[in-house]
Amino acid sequence: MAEIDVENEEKMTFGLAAGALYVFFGILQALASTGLVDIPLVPGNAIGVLVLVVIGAVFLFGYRELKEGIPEGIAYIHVGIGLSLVFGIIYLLVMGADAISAYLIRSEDFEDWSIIDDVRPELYLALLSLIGLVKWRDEFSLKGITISGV
Amino acid sequence: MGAKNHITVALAGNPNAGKTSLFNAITGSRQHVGNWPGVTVEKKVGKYTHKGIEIEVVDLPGTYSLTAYSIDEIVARDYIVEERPDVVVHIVDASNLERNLYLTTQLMELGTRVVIALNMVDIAEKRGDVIDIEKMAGFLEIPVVRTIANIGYGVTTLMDEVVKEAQKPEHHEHEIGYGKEIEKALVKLESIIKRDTHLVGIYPLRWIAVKLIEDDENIKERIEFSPVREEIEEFLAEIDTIDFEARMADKRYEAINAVLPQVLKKGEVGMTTSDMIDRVLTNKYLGIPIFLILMWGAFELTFTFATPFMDIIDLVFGHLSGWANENIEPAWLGSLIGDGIFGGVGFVLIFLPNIFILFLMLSFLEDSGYMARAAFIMDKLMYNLGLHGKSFIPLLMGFGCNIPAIMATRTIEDEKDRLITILVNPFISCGARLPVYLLLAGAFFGGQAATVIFFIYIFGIVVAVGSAKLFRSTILPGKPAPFIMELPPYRLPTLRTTVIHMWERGSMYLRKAGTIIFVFAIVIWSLSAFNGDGYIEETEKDIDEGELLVGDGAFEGKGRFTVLEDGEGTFTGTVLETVELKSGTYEKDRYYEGIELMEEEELHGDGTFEGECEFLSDEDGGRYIGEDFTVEESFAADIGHGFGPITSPLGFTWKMNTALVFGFVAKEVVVGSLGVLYGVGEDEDRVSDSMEDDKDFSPLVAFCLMLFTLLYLPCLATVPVIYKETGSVKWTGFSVGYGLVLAWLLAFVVYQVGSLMGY
Amino acid sequence: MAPVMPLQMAPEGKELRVTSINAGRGLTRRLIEMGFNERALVKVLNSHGRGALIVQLNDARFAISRGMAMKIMVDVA
Ligand SMILES: Nc1nc2c(ncn2[C@@H]2O[C@H](COP(=O)(O)OP(=O)(O)OP(=O)(O)O)[C@@H](O)[C@H]2O)c(=O)[nH]1
Ligand SMILES: [Mg+2]
Repeated sequence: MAEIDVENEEKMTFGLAAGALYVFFGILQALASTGLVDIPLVPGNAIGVLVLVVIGAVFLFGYRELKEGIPEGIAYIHVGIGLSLVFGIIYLLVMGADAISAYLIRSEDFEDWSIIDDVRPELYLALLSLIGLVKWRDEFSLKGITISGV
Repeated sequence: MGAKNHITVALAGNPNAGKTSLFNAITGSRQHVGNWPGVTVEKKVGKYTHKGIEIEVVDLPGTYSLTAYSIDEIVARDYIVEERPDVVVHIVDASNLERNLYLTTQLMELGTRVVIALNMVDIAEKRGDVIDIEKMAGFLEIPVVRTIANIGYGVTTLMDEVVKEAQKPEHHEHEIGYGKEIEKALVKLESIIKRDTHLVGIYPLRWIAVKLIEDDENIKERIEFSPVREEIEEFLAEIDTIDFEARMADKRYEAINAVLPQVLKKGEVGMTTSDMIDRVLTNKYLGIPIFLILMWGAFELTFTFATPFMDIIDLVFGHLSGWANENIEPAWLGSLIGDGIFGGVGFVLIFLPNIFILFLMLSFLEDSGYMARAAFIMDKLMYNLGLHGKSFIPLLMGFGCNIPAIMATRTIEDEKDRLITILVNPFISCGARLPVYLLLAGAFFGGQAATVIFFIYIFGIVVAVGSAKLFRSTILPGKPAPFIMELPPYRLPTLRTTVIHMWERGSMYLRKAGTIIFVFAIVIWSLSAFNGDGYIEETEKDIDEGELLVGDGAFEGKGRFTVLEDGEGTFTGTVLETVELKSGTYEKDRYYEGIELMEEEELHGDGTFEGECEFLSDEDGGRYIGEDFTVEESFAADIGHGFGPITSPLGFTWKMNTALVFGFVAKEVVVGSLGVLYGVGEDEDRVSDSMEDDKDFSPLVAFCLMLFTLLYLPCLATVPVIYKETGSVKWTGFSVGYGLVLAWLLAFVVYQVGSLMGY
Repeated sequence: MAPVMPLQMAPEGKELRVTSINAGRGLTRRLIEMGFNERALVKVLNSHGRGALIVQLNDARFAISRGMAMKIMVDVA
């Protein structure tokens, strides 16, 4: 049992760190969305704020439950990692698509586009979750979730 | 009894047990499968030959028992009870035996030949359950075959058993004992029923007796005209049927529980991964926000990610269209192929990437098991808005296509709940409407396009729930009925199944583009390329007072000449109003010879003009010789102008009117029509560019057009489905009328307010 | 004997036993067919305060609206 506790402790710390970072960047993005300030690597996007804050909240929920000694709290950490990766992948795809528009199609709308324009918190914060995924990959074997189809 | 060589087999079982998967595995068809209860709502028939025996396989909607509460269950119940297939294959979900076996007890009582397909054994075994199928078959006196329907495992063995079973006579020996008192009543009832020789021929005696005690509606109808009806009713009044029924149900569970421990050794139980995920995704505070951000993520992919792929297709068709117009002779054929086919159909195909991504997202939603959760998460909100908890699934499905979505309402038991869900469904923006938004928002809102489209989707949802609330407080008063719905376990959809599902629906869009949209592109092209005088090309004609013409040639008469963008020309004659042009000032009432007009310059004069221009004739009209660019005089224009009085308060031009009229056929046709109407006679490679050039086409008008397209009419294919599902001309008419009025009112308000605010 | 209460008010995570169903004949029958027979063991996994519940019954999970959950009477097993 002791071993599990150590692991949960790690997840607790992870939840706190990831949660705080997501919420922090959510606030930064909210500031950027007002259009009053320009924050590098945080493009303004009102819906993006929601995304960051919600993912942050999921991690923080996990932190809170684990801290209260509820082992099921790891569910929040796992789902948080999942959501964070999903959005990471989405914005990676969007970046790829924009790159095609800019360099391959040479679309007018993308004349001044550079890859930096598409770097956003959802993207680089997902790296953190990637670490989590690699570290706890055995638990993400989706045990109990059955694979449908072949 | 000779061997039958033609048998009918029904697939019956609890919802989400894998009936359709099995049906597909047996017959090789591709019926819709999804990880939530209530996917199948109609019976589907397929053929299969097994060892020379022709087998008609019927897939049925899921049902918990042979008493039906909703329309999909009635379909299942009626088929099993009234049509009497030779064999019923009862699909039992091995990972949830006890509840599934309840239906088995009912089938046994009915006396049909049953073969059990013990499905999802992979799941049960993976978690450590051990099921002894020999014993199970022995206890139930029914053959049991292990299957994994989604990979087709066990199908051959199953069909062997089915064929074998079909040759046996029906047997009623395996029945459940209900205890002395009830048995006595059953015997008495049977002796009464026996005298109705007609009934006896249709159903087993004991089954009728049981159903009478259970107060079954269908059986009560059956005895309506029976000679022994009074006697039966007298007898039923003597006993406490409610208590009897409860005890009978109890006995059935008792029987199941007597068998179960000997058949099933359960593996570890505890919190499953599904439960863990549910803790988070259905969390009181996080559930709705997570749902929203996932929708946004799906939307980002559908819209932003698809853009370059759209652009590529757009460029290809643009070039094809240009090439056809220039190189194909005669000119009308070039225009038909270039503007009509490449312009209209190609224009719809541009949006293929978006459509496919949208359907990919929807497949994932359905197959993962999240769909049913979404209904749970939204229940409270739905309830407050007057919608039933089960309404949410049909609404979500509406994002794909409203037709299956409206059919999916069959699982809603309460008629009023169901009607409301049907009526508001068309406001959920289906995949066919997406191209319209992509086209218009892309052309007029640039960087803001994604947000504008997201807003339109949200707006559709708001109108849908707002209408539900309105109906609840006016024509359909009351509260949504309480609901209970089974939640499937989460499953990780594989790439293969998801892609297959995506292709299945996406190819519908392709097929539509090849058929109905193709036909209508040609129709609209013809309407726009012809008028009462024939094909509009090099012409010589009189122009009446106040008529507008766009063309390249010589005009003679009094009027206003506006040189087209990129065009030029010369004017000779009297200038009627003083103008200042780049080349100098031209005085009123003076005669000039050969004034050179450059692009977008305008002159009001009396004389002749030569070149490319828009010519608006004055009181006296004039004469024109040359090539019309215009579709302004075509039949298409007549249709569009006909609706002018109605739509001009919304800022719509005749081209939009015409597109909307034909858009009733299918909403993609709006896009196809705009493609044709803005393509004919224009030199721009890209239709969206010539739309931007239309000075009546402002972002505000584009927005109103999107709103109107969202709301105005269910498409031609949806209307009969609404009629079929509501069974009422009145409600179908209401649905159409309500949408039209609402679309008009909202577009009117937005346009007028927007105009006032200076947009 | 433990007090009988509607499922709606039952605590999360406790093993509960169905004691009766307070509904019309049709609805009662339906619930029984779905497995909510007397003595069936259920567990509330997720209770949204005044909204719907998620209930575990053997290997099945059900979403049950508040109105429905008021009709299912349980006690702590
Ligand atoms: N792991 C596993 N999954 C299965 C099996 N059979 C079906 N499924 C999955 O279970 C889900 C439900 O399958 P369907 O075939 O749609 O079930 P149905 O009984 O037709 O459902 P309704 O039409 O809603 O009553 C789908 O996600 C299938 O892929 C099986 O044997 N094993
Ligand atoms: Mg099905």
